[in-house]
Amino acid sequence: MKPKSVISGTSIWHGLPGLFIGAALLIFTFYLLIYGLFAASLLSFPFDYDQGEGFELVDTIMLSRGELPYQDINKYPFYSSNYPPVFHLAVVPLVWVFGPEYWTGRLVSLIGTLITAAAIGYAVQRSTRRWWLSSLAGLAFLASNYVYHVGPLFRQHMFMVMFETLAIVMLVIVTEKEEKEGKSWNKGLLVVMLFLFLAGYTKQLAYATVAAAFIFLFLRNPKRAVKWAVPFALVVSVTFLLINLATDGYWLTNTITANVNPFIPGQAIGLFQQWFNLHTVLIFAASIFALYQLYFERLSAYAIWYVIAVINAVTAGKWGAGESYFVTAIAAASILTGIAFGRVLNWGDRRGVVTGVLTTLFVTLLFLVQADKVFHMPTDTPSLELIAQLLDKPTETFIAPQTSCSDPRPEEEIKYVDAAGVGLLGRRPDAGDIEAGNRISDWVSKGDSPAFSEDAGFNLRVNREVITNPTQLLNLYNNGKVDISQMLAMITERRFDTVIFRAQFYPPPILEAIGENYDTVDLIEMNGFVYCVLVPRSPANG
Amino acid sequence: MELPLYQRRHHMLCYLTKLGTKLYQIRLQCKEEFRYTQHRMITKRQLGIGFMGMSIFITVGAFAIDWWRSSNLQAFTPLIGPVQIAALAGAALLFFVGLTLLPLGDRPA
Repeated sequence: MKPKSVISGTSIWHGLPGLFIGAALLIFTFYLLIYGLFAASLLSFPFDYDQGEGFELVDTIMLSRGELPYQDINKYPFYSSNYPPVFHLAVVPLVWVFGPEYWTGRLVSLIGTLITAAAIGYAVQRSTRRWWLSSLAGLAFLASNYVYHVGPLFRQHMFMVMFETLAIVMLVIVTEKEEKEGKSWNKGLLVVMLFLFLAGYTKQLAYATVAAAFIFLFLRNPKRAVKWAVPFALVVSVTFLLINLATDGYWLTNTITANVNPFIPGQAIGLFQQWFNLHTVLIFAASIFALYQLYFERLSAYAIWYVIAVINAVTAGKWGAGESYFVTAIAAASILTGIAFGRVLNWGDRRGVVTGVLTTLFVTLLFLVQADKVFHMPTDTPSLELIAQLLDKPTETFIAPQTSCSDPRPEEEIKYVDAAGVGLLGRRPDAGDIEAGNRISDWVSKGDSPAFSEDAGFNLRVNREVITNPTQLLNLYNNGKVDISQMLAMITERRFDTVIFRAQFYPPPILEAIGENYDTVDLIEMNGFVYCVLVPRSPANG
Repeated sequence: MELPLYQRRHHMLCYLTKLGTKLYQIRLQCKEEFRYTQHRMITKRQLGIGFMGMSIFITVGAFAIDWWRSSNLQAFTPLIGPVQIAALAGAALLFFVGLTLLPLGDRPA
């Protein structure tokens, strides 16, 4: 018979894991709440929060009218898109019902992000049968600073990650079922192919996941991989050719040629360092588990996906790319981490109560470390500020607004803290930002023509046509694939009653022409960026 | 001929996990499952050779891109840039990993 002290000690042992699991779940659920607050703020914000959102809305509007947004950018209104249409098509029904609103695409992107997190949790649950571990894996994905920044935006990236994740999880389900039952499940594999197809036609970056899926299939059964790769490539190619034919070749120019951008090594290295610092636990756990699989068991689809996604994240160094290029790797790392930790927990449980408890503490402690690594939260309400104080974190950040067209401005207090550093994404837009957006729109409505604006939102707000897609124009200009003479003529003739600059991402001759023909009349700050409003120079001033 | 260790392990696990069903069915299922899972899989050794081949391809490619650019731009620069250094480091690592996979033989990749 055990002494009493040992019995009570045992009950403490039994209570400790629950305490740690509860703490980890609480903190990651808090991140989910933060995510929800940010998403809710964005859903009610009627202008571009991230540069490019408005052009995604324009693509959606065009598709809702049955038009393809891959057009001749040399001709008025000089508009074209560089992204495939699946995400926009998913938003089209909402635009039909509710009109061209920013919240439509943000909602679809948000739902896509939540589905991805659920798929991650499901993948871990299938393998570990521990609900709390599965929940933590899914929540750890949502808690990533990058997922937080990009998830609720009107951008197609997270929708692509959703299809990628669904494809790989389904691939694992199919192969496990096939190996268990000893027969092929082609219908299941067809669903995988469908998800891969949709991922690629949501955003081109999904090619890496397509490669990972086929590498996995090849390792398991080379002949079968080739048998599936040929028709898959055929369907993708025929679709590509059909869209290209329907757009007189502008699909190829705008989605492929325009995306060949200069590579900036410093940008890639900086982003890799930041990604590693923010997701250290996930990266270590996933990498060690992938190495373990390489040497001691068969490579799983998740491990191959993770490695390929990390390698592909190098493309984040391209001009115009950024942190979102790491999100696929984060999704794969979250799944691998969950499964690896499940193995550790099983190992601990097999070695008795004490080892079982210690391994649970170890795993939950690692999740808590990961939660600390990605710390981010708005502090714009007294309760949120108090929480930050209680966690011994800063309650505000001081940064200067970004500007490309005005004198530098002094630092301002931002009620948002982020371990990734406070940039433009993450802080919640407020009433002041909406008022600023309305002021800029008022400048557009004062004129008779649409504005030559770097954000689409101001023209959309006052029902004017959207003129050009600046970053796409710049990409094509840098690749020598655009003739800007008509656009230059309209600018020198001062045919646009308003010009609105944000980051001045236009080709240099366009900027020079605007500088020679327009004067700045107002500087308006919105979402941490100084927007410059310009009107045609009066004849008296040349 | 004696089966390799991983195959024997597979047989053993397969039989153990199917305890409770009829012996005849167990044998059939396990044989079928084993045949299915081991169906012309890529082995660790083949994967290692593949890694080593890729590393050579990357190394050649890292230098070939300079050659290609110089033939286009008529300005050959023999300096190795940061991206090339990263590519060569990656290739060296890949070659090493490939080398270490060779002794693992016919185990499935």
